[in-house]
Amino acid sequence: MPSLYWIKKAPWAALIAAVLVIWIDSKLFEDRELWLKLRARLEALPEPVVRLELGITKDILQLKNMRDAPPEMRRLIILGNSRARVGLNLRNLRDDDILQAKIAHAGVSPYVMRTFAKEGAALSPDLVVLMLSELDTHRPVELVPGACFRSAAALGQLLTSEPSLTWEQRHEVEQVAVGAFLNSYRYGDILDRAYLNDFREIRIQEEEPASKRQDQRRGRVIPRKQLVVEADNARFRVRRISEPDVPPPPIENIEEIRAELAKSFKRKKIQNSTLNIGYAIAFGPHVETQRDLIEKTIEIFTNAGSKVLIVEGPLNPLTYLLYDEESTRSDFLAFVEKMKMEYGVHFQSIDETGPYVPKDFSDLLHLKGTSARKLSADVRKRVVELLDG
Amino acid sequence: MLFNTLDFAVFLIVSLSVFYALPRRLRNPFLLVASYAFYGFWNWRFCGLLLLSTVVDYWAALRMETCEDQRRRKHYLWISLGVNLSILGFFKYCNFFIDSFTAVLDSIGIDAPDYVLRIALPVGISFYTFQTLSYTIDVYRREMVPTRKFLDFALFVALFPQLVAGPIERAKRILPQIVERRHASWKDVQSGSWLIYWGWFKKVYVSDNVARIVDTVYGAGAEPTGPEVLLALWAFAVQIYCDFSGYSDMARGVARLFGYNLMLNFNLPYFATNPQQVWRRWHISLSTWLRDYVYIPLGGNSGGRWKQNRNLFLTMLWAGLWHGASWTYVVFGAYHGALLAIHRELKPALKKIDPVSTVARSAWWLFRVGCFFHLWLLGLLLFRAVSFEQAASLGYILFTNTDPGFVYDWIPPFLMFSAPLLIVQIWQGATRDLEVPLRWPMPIRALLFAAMFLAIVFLGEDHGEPFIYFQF
Repeated sequence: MPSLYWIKKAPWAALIAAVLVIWIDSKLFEDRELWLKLRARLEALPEPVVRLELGITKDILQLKNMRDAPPEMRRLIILGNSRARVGLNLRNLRDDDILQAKIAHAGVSPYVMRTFAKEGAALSPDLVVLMLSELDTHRPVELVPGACFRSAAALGQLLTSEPSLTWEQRHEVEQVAVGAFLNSYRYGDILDRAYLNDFREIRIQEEEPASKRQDQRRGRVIPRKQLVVEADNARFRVRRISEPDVPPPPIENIEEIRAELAKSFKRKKIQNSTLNIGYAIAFGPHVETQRDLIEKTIEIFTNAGSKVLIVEGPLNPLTYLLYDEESTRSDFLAFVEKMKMEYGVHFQSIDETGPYVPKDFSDLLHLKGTSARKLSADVRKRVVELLDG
Repeated sequence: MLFNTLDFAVFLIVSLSVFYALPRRLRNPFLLVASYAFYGFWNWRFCGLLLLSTVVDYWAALRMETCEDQRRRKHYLWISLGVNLSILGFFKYCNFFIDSFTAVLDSIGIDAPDYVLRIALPVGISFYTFQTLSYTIDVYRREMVPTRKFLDFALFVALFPQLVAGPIERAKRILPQIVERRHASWKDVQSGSWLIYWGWFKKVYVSDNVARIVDTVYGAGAEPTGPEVLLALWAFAVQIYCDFSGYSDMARGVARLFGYNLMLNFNLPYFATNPQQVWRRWHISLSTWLRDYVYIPLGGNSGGRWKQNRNLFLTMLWAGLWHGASWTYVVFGAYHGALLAIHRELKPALKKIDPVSTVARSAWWLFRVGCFFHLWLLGLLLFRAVSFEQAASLGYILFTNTDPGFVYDWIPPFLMFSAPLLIVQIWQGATRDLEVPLRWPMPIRALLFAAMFLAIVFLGEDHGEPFIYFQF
């Protein structure tokens, strides 16, 4: 008879604890009320501190709405980064029969689209709009773990297609890997900031004149705000999405370009990080990775019976000073052609929605209100055609 | 590679898998390679220093063993001491001495040029230097026979769980374990896993969170009130304890998974009732090292009271300087030296207070714990300060400013993060069993493990905050 000694020796407490954690994790994150409360709390915090978390919270609620909507409703999903958030607004698009989820905020790169694809395809969308351009296909992969959805498969694809990334951004890769397994890990920042802020961060500093408190030693008035240690208005250090101090792009006339951009945007100074966004659009091994991620996303949606529309996101023509627009854009268009041939993807280029001039943009990437409304109107027509067609 | 990162988790899983997949004779060589890889992860250039220290002490110990001439033996000991302390002195104290010298010249009116060497401090240098020194001194004293196997000795110096922040092990304890080529038992796996988990919880949930209060008060431009400083000192006491003992627990746990048994480094130090007791419970591996290699050679308990107190004082000065190249650490050491000496003088009088009833005895114990804890906090005020000016300023505010400031807002998070620690420690103290949670009924343990995990995930710092003691 086999020994049953191992039953006695098995780490039952740890195993039960693991089951408990997974159960609490799944139960807690299915609660719509929790997310509504989180959104309300996040909206009360300073926007720069929480923009990504707020976007994620809104995504979660939109997806819950779509999951719970009656099956006869037509479903539209819009995916893109902050350019789509600002430039693509399809609100009031026949709300009675079209339900839309707009997953568009900073950090939604092709990698995030790919990590979302399975979750999105499970919602059986009729149409998926992807706002893309050479900025998405020709910029190196940069992981923003908080912005990623749960998908171990996407992680696996990334690791095999661009192994150097696993080393350079290993901490982020690890975070995504854990996030793929456990919801609470991924949403830790949101919960931390919004749900527990009252307790942990105590409170956000209020605008206060110089305090009545006296420094007894020196007998002078101390402004209360001196106790604030970080410039982000929170009294305790909070996790911030910070941009490291990077050198400017190695372009000969970079200072002239900087001056021209500053003049155009009516700003005192253009940051290096802004210039590098444009300069990063270049050929390299990352292009293949980005294309693979987009192609896989399209494949997942089309296999689920969804139509896919790629809307070419316009870039400020001044950005062309920073990268080779002609070759990268034609490469992007060739990729789109391939997608059209292989997956029957629809495409709306800037030649249809444009032309765009620098004064249409508020910065290098984002459209101003008027031009955004024009783009949205053009896309709206195409979306309705595709949904009705 | 910090213990509280996923990098380390991957490293540990791979190392353990390979370690147990290999035949026993190859395990120690593999562990040595893994230890150098672990150290090289910080800065591979410093692996050379580690190797140099290892080679010199291995050679010196063997020469001492084969040599009968006491003078020549002493000569080899001095070589070992010279090389190790020179490395330590150069990398850790060079700029400190240059700065101090410049300040002295400035104070007597000589205009000294600003001269600062750009020296990176090799992580863990104070720990492994003391560890190798203990080996050569023990061999010199003929308290142990040196090993002839270089790989065994190299593994003793570099064994990765304790390499960068202790415990400062003794060759007498570890070398026999290395020779024995150990294998973790099921009990080792259980207790090792618990130690890693508990250490991780203490670091990521308790220490890194209460650190926010400390950083706020000690941060640049802060103008705290007296109660805020007091709460920040309580928080720092919790932070530094959980940071360092968390690391030690994790180190012991990791070593246990490989079958090695490292010494206990912390034994509920905040339940100490006097300075003598605290140094028997706090950083035990350092305090016993100082006792054996500094205090006793200075004369120890022999001689008159003045001489004994002088020995105590000098030993604690050394302990302070060990912590870092700064005068605040030296004064921290002096402060504790003074406390120990005063306690020694008061001991006979204190012994006479002997309450009869249980309640009175408990109250007296609590009173002493509370009093000593706050004396300890005064030391920490210096320990955490970046300068004497800051320590003096905060000390002044502590005793003169009574404005509550934000202290009522800070108390709830402080309690939230430190209460679990306190509860478990009271239990450990009452049962005199540091692994008591492992003996709780299974459902309670399951709940505890799950609650700890969720607390770490929801509230823990996941950005791999470095351990405080790595800078020493």
